[in-house]
Amino acid sequence: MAEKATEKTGMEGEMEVDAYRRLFPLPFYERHLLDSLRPDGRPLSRSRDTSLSLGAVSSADGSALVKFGDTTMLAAIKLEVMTPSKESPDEGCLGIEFHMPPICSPIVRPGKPAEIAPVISKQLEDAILSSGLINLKELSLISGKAAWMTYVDIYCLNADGSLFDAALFAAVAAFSHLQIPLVSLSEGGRVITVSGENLDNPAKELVNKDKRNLTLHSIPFSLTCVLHKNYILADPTAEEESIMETLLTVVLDSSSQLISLYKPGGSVLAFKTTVQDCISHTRKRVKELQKILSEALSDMEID
Amino acid sequence: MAIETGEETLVTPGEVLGDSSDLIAGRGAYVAHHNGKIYSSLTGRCSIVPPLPGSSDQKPKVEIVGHKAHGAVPEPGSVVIARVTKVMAKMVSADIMCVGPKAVKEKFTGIIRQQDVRASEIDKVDMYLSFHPGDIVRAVVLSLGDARAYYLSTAKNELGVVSAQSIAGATMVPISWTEMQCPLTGQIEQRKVAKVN
Amino acid sequence: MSTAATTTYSPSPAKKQQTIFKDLDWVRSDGRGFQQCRPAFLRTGATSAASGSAYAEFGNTKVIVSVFGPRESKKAMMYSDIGRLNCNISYTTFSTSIRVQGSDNKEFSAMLHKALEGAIILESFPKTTVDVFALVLESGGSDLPVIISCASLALADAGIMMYDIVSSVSVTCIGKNLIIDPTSEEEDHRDGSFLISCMPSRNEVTQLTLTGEWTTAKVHEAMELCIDACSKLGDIMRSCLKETASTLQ
Repeated sequence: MAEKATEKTGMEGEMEVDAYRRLFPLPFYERHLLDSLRPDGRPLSRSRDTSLSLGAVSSADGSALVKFGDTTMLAAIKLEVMTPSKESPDEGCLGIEFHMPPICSPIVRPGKPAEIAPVISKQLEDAILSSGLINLKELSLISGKAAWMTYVDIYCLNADGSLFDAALFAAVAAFSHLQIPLVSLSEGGRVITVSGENLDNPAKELVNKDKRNLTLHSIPFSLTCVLHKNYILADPTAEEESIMETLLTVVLDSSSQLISLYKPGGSVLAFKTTVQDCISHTRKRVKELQKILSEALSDMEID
Repeated sequence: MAIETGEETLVTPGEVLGDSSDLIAGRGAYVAHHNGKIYSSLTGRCSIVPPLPGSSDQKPKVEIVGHKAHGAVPEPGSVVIARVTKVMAKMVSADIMCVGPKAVKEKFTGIIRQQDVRASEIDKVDMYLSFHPGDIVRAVVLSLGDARAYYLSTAKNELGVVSAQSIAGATMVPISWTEMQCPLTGQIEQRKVAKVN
Repeated sequence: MSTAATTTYSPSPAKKQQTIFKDLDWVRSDGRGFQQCRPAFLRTGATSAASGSAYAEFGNTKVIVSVFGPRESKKAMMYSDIGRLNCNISYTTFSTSIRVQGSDNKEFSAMLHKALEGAIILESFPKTTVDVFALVLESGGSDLPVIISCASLALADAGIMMYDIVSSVSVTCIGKNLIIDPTSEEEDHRDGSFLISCMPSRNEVTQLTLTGEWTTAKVHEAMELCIDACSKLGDIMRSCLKETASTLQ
């Protein structure tokens, strides 16, 4: 493949393949695409190796570490107590934030946050709220008095493309790992956690004895594809995203219902058939992700 | 500390490799002035190179090889490949993409000043007839330059534009030292063309 | 987010003022001896987007450091014949038991810079900048020394030339006892703290900070404890680097 890539440039022999790739990224990619194989050896529709480990953060109530190839996401959920609003006294709240710290990419610098981070935050919030993953009523503790404010923070530890997909998977995995702490009401009317020796013989009645886990209704999963000419590349790397600018992200729930579809600009028009192809790629991906999630959950039960 | 000639051991920064009275510090090694010892400054295999026969210093050289060195950085004298970003009356700016045969991880900014475009008639150089934004240029690093950019030169036959697109969007073919031609339209454009071997 | 305005609080009860530390022979919550460090887990190459990186885990203290460059100096910097080092440390929102707004720690960033600067051969990358960025995933005590050691590992992984690696250890003084590699809880009860960063092979100290009340005898004792621990940590760091280097070949 290396020889093929340097044909016809008049500069062969002078530079390494990496240099050619850096200078002429599009021709480099197009030569690979002719063989229906990407530079990392993947067929066009294949996602990168995906791994998930639950409970990576001991200071959180639920957490998950996700890897899509080199893209790494750490999601952690922390529960705090809030006073519900008058309009919805029986509901808690979700706060979702996506962070790109300077460690994750050469383009992020301290004091100069990545422009994409707030966009992904909003997309995550939309996907999680509109999928109905969480019933906010389940976050209620004492009607009108206390409910859970659920902070979901997702940190990108290494950015190599398909950030939204990996972040969404990390977030839903953290939700499935979430253990709600047992709480009781103190004299001052504050909600406090009960743990250790106090558990067997609580001074106060427990507020939430039967609600340690959230019921996750239809879980959202997503797949981003890069569109270039007639090619559809699933789960793109950062390089692929930067060279071929048209992205299409499909979010489906566990029963393959379409939740949302993003196509943030780009030059390639997404024809109906292209969109359908992307959706069917996403269906396959949802099955893979579901399997990874359920395996991680059953591993946890064994432990 | 007793590293024999030919033997290769893994070392890390700060490990003692020997004494400057017996050895010369090569790449990845340095001499500490307070004790005259030679230390490693990189992680890699320590290799001892015997002195070249007839060289003035008959001490073997110790160097670190096979390590993961940091990415390429332009140095005076390096041949670089750069992409022209902006053409002005007195200079062009270009992003350095490769140093020698190696791609850089992140680009460095370079400038080619009017007097450094070609070797002769340097005051008659028209920058707009020498480079266009997007051209790929082979150049040599003259100096570290100023705070913003490295100073580059194309004042040699083999230096200059090596790849350029025509207005029609095709990769042009060099036809002389100063001209390139579009294979689609046949239109000729002016450039400081690098001589093709 | 609209919910950000709502005031929320953590349900975990406020920490009880532990009197146990005042006893002469209390036991550390993780069962360690007073002069025993937590087991260190170190790994290089945590983030592929960086030129070099490392992950360090000491008990509940978990840190990732990425090194970028040598790359073009940003901002309108003055020309410099030697390289520049730029350091930044930030914390995740979930790094502590009570959720915080994730933020930069300016004081630690400056101290990290000072601890590393003397160990780096700045002449080897003229005009350019090496960025050292740390993210504290979980703050479990002795954060700064863990970050410093981890950063030095990341620099070595990035192939930045150094005079020596830098290992760093802190000691907390509680009552009459000197506690090495303290946890957050132990740090909260300290009467004094002592931090050393050193180049173990060259036997040189790059940074030493001392706060609180100390007697000269205690300072000597703390210094010996730290230097000894730094040298042991240095060996662990070297074997981590060698392990990575040997798998590359």
